[in-house]
Amino acid sequence: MNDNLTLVNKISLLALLALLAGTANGVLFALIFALSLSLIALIVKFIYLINESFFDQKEGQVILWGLGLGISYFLYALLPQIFESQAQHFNYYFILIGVTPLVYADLKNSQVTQFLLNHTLFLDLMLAVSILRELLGQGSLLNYQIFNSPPLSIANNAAGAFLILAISAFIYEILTKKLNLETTLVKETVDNFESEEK
Amino acid sequence: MSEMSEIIFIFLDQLLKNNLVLISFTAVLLIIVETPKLRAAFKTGTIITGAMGFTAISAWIFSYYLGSINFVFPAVYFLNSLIAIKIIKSYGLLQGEWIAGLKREIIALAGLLAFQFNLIEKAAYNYQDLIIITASLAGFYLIFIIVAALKEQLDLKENQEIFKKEYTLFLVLAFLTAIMSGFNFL
Repeated sequence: MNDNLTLVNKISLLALLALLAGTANGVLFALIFALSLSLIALIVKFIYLINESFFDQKEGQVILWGLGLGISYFLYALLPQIFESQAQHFNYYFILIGVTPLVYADLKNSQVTQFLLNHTLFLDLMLAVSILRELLGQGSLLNYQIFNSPPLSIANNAAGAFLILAISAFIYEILTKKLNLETTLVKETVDNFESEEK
Repeated sequence: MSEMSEIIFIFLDQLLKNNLVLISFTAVLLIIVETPKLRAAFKTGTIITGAMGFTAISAWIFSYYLGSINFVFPAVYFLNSLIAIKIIKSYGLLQGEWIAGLKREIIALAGLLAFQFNLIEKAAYNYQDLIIITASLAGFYLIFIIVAALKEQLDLKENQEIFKKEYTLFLVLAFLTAIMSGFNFL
């Protein structure tokens, strides 16, 4: 089933736990979750590039995972003090950001293009899933009540997480296929990056 | 309620209504990616469940004795997970690369850690914990086998490419979660 993965397919697998668990507490928390993951991924990539040959070895890889977990544990302790209104949502899933496969994906690829592409799509998917889950499951958006009662209360629980993720990723998949977005996105990101470098 | 019925109630509640894979998404990636064909899944599932059992018991013992210094728990769980990965690998599983230049071990790491966090969060350090651990492991094994069977069906050649992807599996898991939780959202 993992042959010929598309970009959407790849990201939905690499960040599966984040997409399912990080979107349960509204858009705002999903945004904090997604940005924390990307920040940890950036730090991990930076550390990896300092001593590539060491981190390619088995011991180096374990140390890198440990560092990732350590950073996410540090953020888990720090961020609730900054985002006090969201403090009750910080649970062990947040610590698990440090071992999310997306954090360690494409580390060997020293170009920023792939990293940007992966994390833009991840942020996009996190927003799509969390908006749908908050709107349908709680009837609100960014904590503003829009509907008197939730239009689809299943969206707020675990079954809804699988359902909304499947629908969102499915729509993204069809859109990227129909509009040939994957090729265009890769090309545009490469072009932008090259023009910035010049 | 008699003690026996209480044990059965806790076991079934943890196995079905609060299944750790479907409700807490524990090791869901490991199940989706690593499930082989149904025939092989019985053995593979046993090996992975056994390794998870090791982490659960180890985490339970350590968390009981290190309760006063609970900030070290993530490090203890991390070490437990590494040992469990070593056990799984010794049976020829989780070998080679997965996608995006990642080794297959990473798929199990998050699942094993999540399992320990999940269990210790609920731990009361009495006999009920052992029932919860057993039921959680049984729940994991059950979903492992179900997903293996589902994947075998989804991989049928007459399916269109898009239906072979994980999204179809997510939809089935959504329905399964709704059934197991007794449609409690209605």
